[in-house]
Amino acid sequence: MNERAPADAWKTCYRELAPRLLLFARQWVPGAADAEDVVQTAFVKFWRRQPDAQREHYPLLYAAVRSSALDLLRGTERRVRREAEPAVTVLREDATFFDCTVEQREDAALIEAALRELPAEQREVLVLRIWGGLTFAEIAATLGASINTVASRHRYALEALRRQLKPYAHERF
Amino acid sequence: MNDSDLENQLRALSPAAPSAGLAARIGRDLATAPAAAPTAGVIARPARTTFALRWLRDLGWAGAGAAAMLAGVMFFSPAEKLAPRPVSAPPVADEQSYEPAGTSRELVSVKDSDELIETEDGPVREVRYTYLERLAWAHPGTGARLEIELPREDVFLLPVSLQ
Repeated sequence: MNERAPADAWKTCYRELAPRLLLFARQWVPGAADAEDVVQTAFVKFWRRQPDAQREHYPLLYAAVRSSALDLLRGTERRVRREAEPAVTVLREDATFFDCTVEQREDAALIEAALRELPAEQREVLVLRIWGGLTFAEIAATLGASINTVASRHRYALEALRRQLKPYAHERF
Repeated sequence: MNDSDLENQLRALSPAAPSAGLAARIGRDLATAPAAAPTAGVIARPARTTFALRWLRDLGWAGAGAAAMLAGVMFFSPAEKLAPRPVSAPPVADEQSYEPAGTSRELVSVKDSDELIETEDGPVREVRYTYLERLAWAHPGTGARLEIELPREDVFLLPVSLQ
């Protein structure tokens, strides 16, 4: 490890970010096990580069997760093509996105279903903003898009979610 | 429900925690894998030279240049320069040289690195453009055509702003 940081300094960062990184990874690789592999690869790679990472470096970690997830997807798609199986059988794996209380369970299921219906570019912005806690500028840097684009995608995502959750609005939302 | 209410509703849900094994795997990887070298991700820059070293270096180059010029003057004597050139026969088709017939460039891949490189001017991201260049020559007399393909890679360092 780097001399500037203690050997287990990564644990603080990991404890803070691991659930968020996992949720972000699962936007591309819904399988929990694959998503954990993605987070592992990205986190190790990131921490070797930034052993004294601070809050301002976190967008790079999300970018590393995104890159690893897309690499895994590309590899998976190649493998699926070779085996002549439909990609959906590999990409779909049911596991909840959220840890929730009994009272939250139904809301969480509705929100997760609505999230899965969003276009990928809107969903990743929403996840980074809501659960990643990143600013629009940080999300823009993570995704390599402009701030205006990111803000628009966020707005569209919220509108789409509201539309999908509207039938349940009188009960919960 | 407005945007803010919906966002708060969403934030109330906590992302699922990873399995306990993930932390152990990361810890094992970080413990066993070699850390990045201190120079990793840093663009190497030449060391600063002192005035005396620069002066000696420049003097050496000036001396080499003067020697080359003197050798050239001695080799191409004036008598040789003034000697009449033999009149050559008009070129026939076989002796004509190939002429450029066109070039093209095909973009093969763009690799946008997700790693940050620290420079004196701030963090930058590396983007590599890989091309396949095709150069063609044609012989005007015979119509023969010669083509070669060359790989080409352009590397750009794009400034990254995290704010």
